[in-house]
Amino acid sequence: MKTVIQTYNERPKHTVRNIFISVFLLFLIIWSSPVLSLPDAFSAGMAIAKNIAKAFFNPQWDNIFTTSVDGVPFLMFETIGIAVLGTLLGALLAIPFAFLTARTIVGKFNVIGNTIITTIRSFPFFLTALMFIRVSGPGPMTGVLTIGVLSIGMISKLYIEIIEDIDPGILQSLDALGATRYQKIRYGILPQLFANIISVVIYRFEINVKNATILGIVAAGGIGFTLNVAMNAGRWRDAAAALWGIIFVVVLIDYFSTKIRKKLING
Amino acid sequence: MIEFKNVGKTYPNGVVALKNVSLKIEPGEFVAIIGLSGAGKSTLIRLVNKMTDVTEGSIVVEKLNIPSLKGKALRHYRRKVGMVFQSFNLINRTSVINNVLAARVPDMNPISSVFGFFSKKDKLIALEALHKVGILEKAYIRADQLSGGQQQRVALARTLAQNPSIILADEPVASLDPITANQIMSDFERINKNENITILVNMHHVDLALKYAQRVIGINEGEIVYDGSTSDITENLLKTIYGRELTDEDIMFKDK
Amino acid sequence: MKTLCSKISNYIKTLIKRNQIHRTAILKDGTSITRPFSYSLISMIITLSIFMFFWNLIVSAFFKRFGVGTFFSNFSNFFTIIKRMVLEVNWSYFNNVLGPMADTIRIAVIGTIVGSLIAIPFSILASQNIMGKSKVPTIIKFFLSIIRTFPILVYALILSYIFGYGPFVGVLATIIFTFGIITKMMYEIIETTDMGAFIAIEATGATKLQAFSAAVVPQIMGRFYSIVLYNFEINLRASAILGFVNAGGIGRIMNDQMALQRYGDVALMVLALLFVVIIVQNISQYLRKRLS
Ligand SMILES: Nc1ncnc2c1ncn2[C@@H]1O[C@H](COP(=O)(O)OP(=O)(O)OP(=O)(O)O)[C@@H](O)[C@H]1O
Ligand SMILES: [Mg+2]
Repeated sequence: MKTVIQTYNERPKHTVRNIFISVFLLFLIIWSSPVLSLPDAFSAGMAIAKNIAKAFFNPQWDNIFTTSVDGVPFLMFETIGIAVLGTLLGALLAIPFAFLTARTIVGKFNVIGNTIITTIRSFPFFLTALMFIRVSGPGPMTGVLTIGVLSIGMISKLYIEIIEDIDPGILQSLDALGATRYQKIRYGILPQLFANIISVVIYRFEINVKNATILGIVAAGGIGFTLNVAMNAGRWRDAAAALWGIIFVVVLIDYFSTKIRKKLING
Repeated sequence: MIEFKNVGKTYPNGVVALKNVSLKIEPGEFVAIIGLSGAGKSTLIRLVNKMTDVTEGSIVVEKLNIPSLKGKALRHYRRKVGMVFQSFNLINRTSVINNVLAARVPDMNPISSVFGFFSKKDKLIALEALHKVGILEKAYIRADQLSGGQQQRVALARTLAQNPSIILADEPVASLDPITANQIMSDFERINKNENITILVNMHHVDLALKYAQRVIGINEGEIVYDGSTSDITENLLKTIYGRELTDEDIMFKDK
Repeated sequence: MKTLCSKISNYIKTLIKRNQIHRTAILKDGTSITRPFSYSLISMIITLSIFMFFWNLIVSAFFKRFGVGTFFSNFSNFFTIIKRMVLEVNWSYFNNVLGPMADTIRIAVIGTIVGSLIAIPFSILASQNIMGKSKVPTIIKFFLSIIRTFPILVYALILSYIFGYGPFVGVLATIIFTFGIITKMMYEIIETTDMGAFIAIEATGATKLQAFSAAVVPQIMGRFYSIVLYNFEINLRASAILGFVNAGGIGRIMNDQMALQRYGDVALMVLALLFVVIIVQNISQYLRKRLS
């Protein structure tokens, strides 16, 4: 029998580890602290903050209740459109990446595909947008292309998971009843994956709507352009109208997206 | 008629699964194949619809030389040979009726098959098949929400919907409880009698085989050691088939 | 008016009835079975019309204005940029990258740490199972969902007009953004932890806070660290673009060099970023695996 004291003394101790972690964190924080220095031009800030806050609760109503092409409703439609088309484009572009990266298909060569996917994911998407502006100029088309490329990583990851665990039994049973290769994919694989794919694509769409709201900052279409210009000009009430547009759309899409995804998964 | 002539099967890894197997099965027979695990039961059954290729001998079904079938001809032949698996192999996340309708897909025209538009006739065939196995009321429920026995019935209905003249079943009741297993076996029995479909079923459990089949083929290490009527089976014959005394595991109802 | 209404409702009723007859199948032995109403066709039509609507709004409109041909021939510009990025990597630009890259990491570090510290009390206050019947969780959850509607860049944009340009704005934006996500993730975890121990300790006369730290904290600590690490990864990627609205970090010079078409410089920055992201990602994944 061990005595109480012995047991107490033999308790698991992480002293060394904890000290190491604390020192490391402390070092990180000290090293990072320069970013906490307040910028010089702060004096006017408080007044601006007050104006912005005031404008937020009294936005430019004329911009909200209008159908003109520079009004908030139209621009929000454009933003959603960028997200919708961009997500679909991403879902298409992801297919070849997935097949080139699925372990069950390319074996160890999936390193190559993985590297490409990581590169695309870490590539700042404003850069992608600036590159596509040379293709389709300023405007929502550039936004669609950017969002499409931006979505490749997440969606191809989903496809890879799916490819890697397809149930071979179902393929066998379709084989046994005389189905062709195409029919096996159409009726054996797709119905099983459909709910999964749709649910991830919708989730990605939700993320993409948020991304699409800021693409306008680099002139790639959507509400962001108006927001940026209005803020630049100090037209806080116009900016506030755009912000309310974003809140309205994102909350609405969040709500429906969650609902649909729940339904898809639970059947 | 199914005819095996001196059939042998050696897998690429050198395992000899079947040796010199010859047999004839007449249309409308209900045959159970019994034997120990690894005896070659699955191999034998999978040779019939060419899920596995022979390495020696010949297999003739309804005047067709099975080993030479390829591509379209093979698919066409497989339409007439239904297969039921131990693991049901249903398409999850899809309704029961869509699972059964999958059996109609190879006969559909290409355009409807792309969009999944099934004709009224196909839908009725599928519903009739579900009715025959007694789960019509589950038609519009998702397949993965059914019990194991119900799922095996869906698989059986899927096979019926292809209107086969032969049904192959590889241990169809091995993952079911005794009562459900008996129900499924009597489904097979009824289908065999009413539709006059030849049934070839692999079994692990001797008692079920003896209860439902008319004829038993016993296999031991790839060779047929018994082939005859169910009623002629004796304790001694079972010992040759199994190469040992029967244990509780070989029998589904222990009190028997 | 009334007759019109009843006419319409009658019409709808007959439609439903007809549809029901259409959905009913009668088998050979007379048994009938009715297929439940399926929304799949309706949702297919809705999806397709949404797609067509946006296609017309954006893609068709674009092609009408600029032509399909120019679009595809312009793609050579895109590939030229990629080609130049790959071939002209400017290693001598490294010294110019070091400072902004360090700022990017610093913004992510401080933003993540402060944001997650603030998230702790709020995630407790937002957990209905800890707060009992109080209304506080509902209110906090409402504000959280508003906070989470804006991407980090919108915060950076707004804050840059208040605090001026520089990394401080980036830190603030990251803090708000991190706070929004982590609080949500944490209250979801807290609300699904086993409450048995909490109730037992509360019954001994401990306060809610004491019971929480004794019974709930040990259960969720690992998950918390893992969420913080995961958010650090996100924040690192996000803070790389903060500079596009002058909120500090590498994005600012990225934007500048891109405008000057110095693709070799941009390529080096992308490589530096990739290097840091991959290292952080691997460390974080390793730690998260150990935590779970
Ligand atoms: N695809 C294969 N490749 C190589 N060897 C195989 C293959 N399939 C089966 N075998 C071998 O062939 C022999 C017979 O196998 P088979 O599956 O026909 O047995 P079984 O009687 O169905 O057994 P069980 O009752 O366990 O299903 C076994 O030794 C098995 O290991
Ligand atoms: Mg077997």
